[in-house]
Amino acid sequence: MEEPKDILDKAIDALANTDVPPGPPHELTDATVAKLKEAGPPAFLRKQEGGQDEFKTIRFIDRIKPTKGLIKFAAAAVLLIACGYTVGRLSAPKSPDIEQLRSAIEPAIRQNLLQEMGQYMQVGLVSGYAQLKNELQQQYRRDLSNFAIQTLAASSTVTNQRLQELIDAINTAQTQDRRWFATALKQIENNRLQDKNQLADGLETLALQTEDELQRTRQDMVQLLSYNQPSSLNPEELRNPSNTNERSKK
Amino acid sequence: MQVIDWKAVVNKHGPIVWNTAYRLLGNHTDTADCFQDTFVCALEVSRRQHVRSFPALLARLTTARAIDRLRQRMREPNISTDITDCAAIPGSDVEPYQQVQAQELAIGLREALAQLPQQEAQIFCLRYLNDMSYRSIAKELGIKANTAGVLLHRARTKLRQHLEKAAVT
Repeated sequence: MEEPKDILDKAIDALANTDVPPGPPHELTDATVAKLKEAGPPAFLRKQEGGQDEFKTIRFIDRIKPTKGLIKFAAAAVLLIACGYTVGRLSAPKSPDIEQLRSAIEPAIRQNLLQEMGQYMQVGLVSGYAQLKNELQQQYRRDLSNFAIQTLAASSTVTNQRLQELIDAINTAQTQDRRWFATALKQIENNRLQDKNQLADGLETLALQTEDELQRTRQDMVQLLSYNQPSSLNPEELRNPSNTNERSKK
Repeated sequence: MQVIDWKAVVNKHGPIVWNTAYRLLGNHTDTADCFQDTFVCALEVSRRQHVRSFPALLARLTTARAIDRLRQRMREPNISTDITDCAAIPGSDVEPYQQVQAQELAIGLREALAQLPQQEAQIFCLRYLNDMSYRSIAKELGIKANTAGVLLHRARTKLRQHLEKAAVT
């Protein structure tokens, strides 16, 4: 089983198998050669430019040397043809009556020509139909493939855009949630501090009152132990024991 | 000094230069510019030193010029990095979505190559686009074969990371 290729190998394959248009164009190669010539030949070749014509002459002579025999042969052939033509013209019989000959062979030629033209047209139409069908099929396939590629690319772009918008919306919502959460925590913290302060104040008040009450009780106890009537108590209160209970409640 | 028939050189090795540049650049205009730059550079090199192998030299110069042009494309924000010709008609045996995937991967690889160090990108292109051996690459770049292997490994790692990151985002 073939192992799945990793993304780099796929990318290398994609890059290596890129459809390259046939090239380079002739205009480009010509322009490049011209540019290279503009850049100038090497110095030692520039010095030899004086001997260039001589070199060209030698090369031309060398080039026409193998064609000399051919020229002779062609001249002989032309001479022979001319002689043959002259002999043929002189020894040819008198030309037949052209009109008679034409009237004799014209119907047959016309008939044959019509048949051949018909066959030729039929074959041409059949082949043209097949070629047209094939071209239309290829064009249709190309158009469909191009359309599919463009549609896929466009849908990919739109999908990416929508995903980005979704990510932005989620980020915004999360930021809002965090803000609300921080506000709530801050409020809770404030409430806690307020409750703590209130509790501290209450406890302090309770402690002060308790201390006062203890102080007063201690004084009462001292007076009671020394058999003195407590100064804080009225004679009415001594007569009425329920007042004592109320005081102890206080 | 070498006597070079540049017309013959352009006609003989032009298609290789064209193919290499087009694969890396992906559009006709940049490829044509890269083509001319490559041969002008080759002319300069031939004046300085003896050229042993034109295919190797032209491959090296083509990849270098093409990578420079890719970087230039990345630096200029006005130029889109995925400008590719629409003339490439998909074959009947390739599905359209496969074609789109291949195009996206090729564009991603070009962007990643533009971000690599020059030598690593060049070694990567010579190895995988021109099918040159480690020894040939090392000889052409004037480094050791082991160094070429190490640089190629680094280039592959960086390119894979870049492509995976691009695929995630």
